[in-house]
Amino acid sequence: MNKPLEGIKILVVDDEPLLVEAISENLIMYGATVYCAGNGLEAIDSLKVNSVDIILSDMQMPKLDGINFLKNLRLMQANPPPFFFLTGYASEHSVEKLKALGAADILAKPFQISQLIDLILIHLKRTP
Amino acid sequence: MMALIAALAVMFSWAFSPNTFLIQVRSTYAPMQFNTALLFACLSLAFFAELRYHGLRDAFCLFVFLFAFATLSQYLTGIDFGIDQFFTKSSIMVLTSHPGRMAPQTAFVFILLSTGILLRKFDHKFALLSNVISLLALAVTLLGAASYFSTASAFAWGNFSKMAILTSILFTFLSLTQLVVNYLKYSERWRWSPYLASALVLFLGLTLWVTYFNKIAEDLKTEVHATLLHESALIKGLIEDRMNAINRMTERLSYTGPNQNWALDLNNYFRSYNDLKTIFVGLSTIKKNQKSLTGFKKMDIVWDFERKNPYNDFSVKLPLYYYSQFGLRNVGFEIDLASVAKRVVLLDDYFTSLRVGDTIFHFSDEFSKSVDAEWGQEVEFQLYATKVTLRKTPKLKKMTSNQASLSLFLITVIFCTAVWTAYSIQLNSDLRESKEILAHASSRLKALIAALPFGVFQTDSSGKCIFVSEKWCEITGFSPLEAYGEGWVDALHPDDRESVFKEWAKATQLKKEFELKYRFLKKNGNIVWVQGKAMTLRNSSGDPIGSIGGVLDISNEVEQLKIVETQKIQLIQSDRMRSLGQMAGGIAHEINTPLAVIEMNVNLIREMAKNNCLENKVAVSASNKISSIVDRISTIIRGLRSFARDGNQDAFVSNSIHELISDTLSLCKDRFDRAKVILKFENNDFNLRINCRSAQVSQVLVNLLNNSLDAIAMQESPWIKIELAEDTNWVYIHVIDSGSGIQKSLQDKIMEPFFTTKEIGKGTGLGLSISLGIMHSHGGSLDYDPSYANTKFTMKFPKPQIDT
Repeated sequence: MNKPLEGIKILVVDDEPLLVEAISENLIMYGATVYCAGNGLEAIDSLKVNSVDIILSDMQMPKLDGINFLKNLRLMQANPPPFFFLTGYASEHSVEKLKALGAADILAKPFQISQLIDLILIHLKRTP
Repeated sequence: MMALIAALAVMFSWAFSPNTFLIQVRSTYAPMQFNTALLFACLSLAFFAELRYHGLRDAFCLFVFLFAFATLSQYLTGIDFGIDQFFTKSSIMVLTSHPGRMAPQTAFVFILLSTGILLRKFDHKFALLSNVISLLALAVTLLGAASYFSTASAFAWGNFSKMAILTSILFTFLSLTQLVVNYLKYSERWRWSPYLASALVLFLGLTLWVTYFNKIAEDLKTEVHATLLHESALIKGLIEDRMNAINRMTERLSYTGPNQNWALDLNNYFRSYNDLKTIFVGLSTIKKNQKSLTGFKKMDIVWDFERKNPYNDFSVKLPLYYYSQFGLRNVGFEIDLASVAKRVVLLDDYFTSLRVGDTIFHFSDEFSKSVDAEWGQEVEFQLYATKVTLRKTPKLKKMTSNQASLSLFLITVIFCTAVWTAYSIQLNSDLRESKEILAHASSRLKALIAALPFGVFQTDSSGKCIFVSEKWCEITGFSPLEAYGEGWVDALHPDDRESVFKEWAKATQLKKEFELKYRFLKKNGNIVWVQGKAMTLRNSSGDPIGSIGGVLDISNEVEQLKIVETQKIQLIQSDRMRSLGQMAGGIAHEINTPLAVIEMNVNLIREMAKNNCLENKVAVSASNKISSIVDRISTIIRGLRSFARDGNQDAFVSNSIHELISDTLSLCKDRFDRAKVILKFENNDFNLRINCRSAQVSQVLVNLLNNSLDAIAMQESPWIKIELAEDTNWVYIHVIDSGSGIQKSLQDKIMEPFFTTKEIGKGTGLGLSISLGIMHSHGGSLDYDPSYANTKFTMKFPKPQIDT
């Protein structure tokens, strides 16, 4: 099995547990280390303990939604890891605005895993 | 005379065959009794006998008096003397109980009249009394007659029979006769009796006029006229006779005085009179005056000479009398000879005295016999003279009673004619006026009916059409001829005929107005909706004589209503669509996540399988996850589909409340999540069901949730709670949000259509009103609970009754 995500630590944040689970299993299958969170708050708590290379976050979550999570993250960390939004309602948000907020890119659900992997690798190569 | 004839006729008819006319004249009037007739006969004979047979007169009067008295006492004492049955044995049925007995008034009047006549026997001593009695008799008679013309029963004296009309008539004449006779005899004492008699005649004339107008007037006129004609013929004859006598006398006397043409003058004068003037001059001569003053007999009749006879030794004496049909010796004339006395001579019936100036001459009997003497025959008589005080004679000309009666009768005739003419003129002009008013009203009515915006029809009492207005014909397309009778039924739409008849029958039975919306089917196939209204016409006694009604073309309204109905449905649908639109984004989002789950799990299986490291455990687990997530998608789709459907046509089916609410919530989940609203729906009762249209109930729930969301989105920690409740008859769905309730002033308005507190463009304000409509159509209601601290809306459904 090809493991392109070997050694990469990824944080997956989504309020739908089945999706978190499914994404995580796929990423693990490709060799990544995955941390999970159900919403923004849990994600921040997790980030306090763990350091990750990629953050994948849903937009609509209870307690702390995706956008606010990003904003808090930017306040917390000077150089946060690449942040990807996973959204079911892609057209509602303007990509430029989100990128201006600090997101690396947006992925519309449902997405192909290969899309995700490509994106991750591209953005990781970018970072030094 | 007439009285006698009448009386005889009545007696005849009683005795032999009841001729109702003679007796009764009219069937409602009391008949003249036999005894009455008998007494009338006697009284008349008494008057007859007046002329000559004083003894006979007295006898008759006495008989009348006694008979009447006896009858009256029968009434008073109640004892039957048997005189009723004297002449008539059986009771002849002409509405009388005692065929023989007369009315008490009749008896009373008989008594009065006979007394009056008898009193005259005693000359002027009882003159006044006699007159009074006669007047009283007359008055009673008139009262009796009046009882036929008025409704006062007093004239009938209680239970006794009324005085017969014939009786009254005859009595009237007799009393009048009595009065007049008295007048003749006792004119000194009773100077104004002609006027009194005239007044009474007038009254009688008026009353008789009222009923027997033409007949009696004619009869009287004819009679009087005949009398006058006869008398004037008589007089004329006599005048001529006397004129000849004068001539003869003149020749015989060989008078050579200065006025030898006196006789000629007289002649000429007579010729110039017309025959109504009753001139009857008879001349006789007397010898040279021989005065011998002896005792006197008081005179009650005088005549005056206003001028002295220029022919000194010649005086004109006047035996004046003629017989009239009334059986009287009515004496009087008027002569206006230039040279002779002016005034009337009224002699007593025995021609025994005269007055010249203030001297009364009383002639002996021989003088009276001079009437029968031959011309030229010398008659010797004594002349007694006495001086009397002249009474001032009235300036007025005394009419003869004949003339008085005649002229007053004529006055009565003229008066009544005038009254009648005036009355009929008035009547005619009233009639004409009424006709004009009626014509105006008619034309106004016609114009009004033509101008009305609805059609008018009229039926008779059996429901057959008798009139339709132009507008009606326009509406129905039927011509009036086609509509008359039963024809209008064909104009009705066949499907509506039965309901029209039923409603008509109901309205007739309940005596209300007929009111119904129904259709006419025009000949070209068009349908015209009309509002028909009709009411019963009644005549003055309240009986129905038909109906009149109107039909108003309401096709437009019906169209409008249909359009409104359609629009309402469309409005509900569009409201639903609007909600759907709002939810669409969320729904899409809600489906995308499950799709991602599927994609991920599929990739897992695929990659592992490709690399031959797919464990059964993993495959099974991933497949299970895929299945369950597919279920979730189905739920959403299902909820969406059922929501989007126009539930207006659905049947009411039994639905699980839990399922209903869950499906609906899944539609809204996205919005809740985005708004960070916590949704609590805890329900353990999965068996609770209601009969409803799921799409519409879903619509109401969505509406409530959306309203709540809009209201609480700005809060720190908003929440919405859905609770279920039930009691014996109802099932409740409570939707409570973290809001603080609705202002009291707005509580009544929120359910109104188009009421919204949102900005323009944010909300139509229709949601709650439509939701309310849906709840009502489910037999339930939508209520806001003002007593709850938070905003709480309740959907109330009737609990389905379990059929055992």
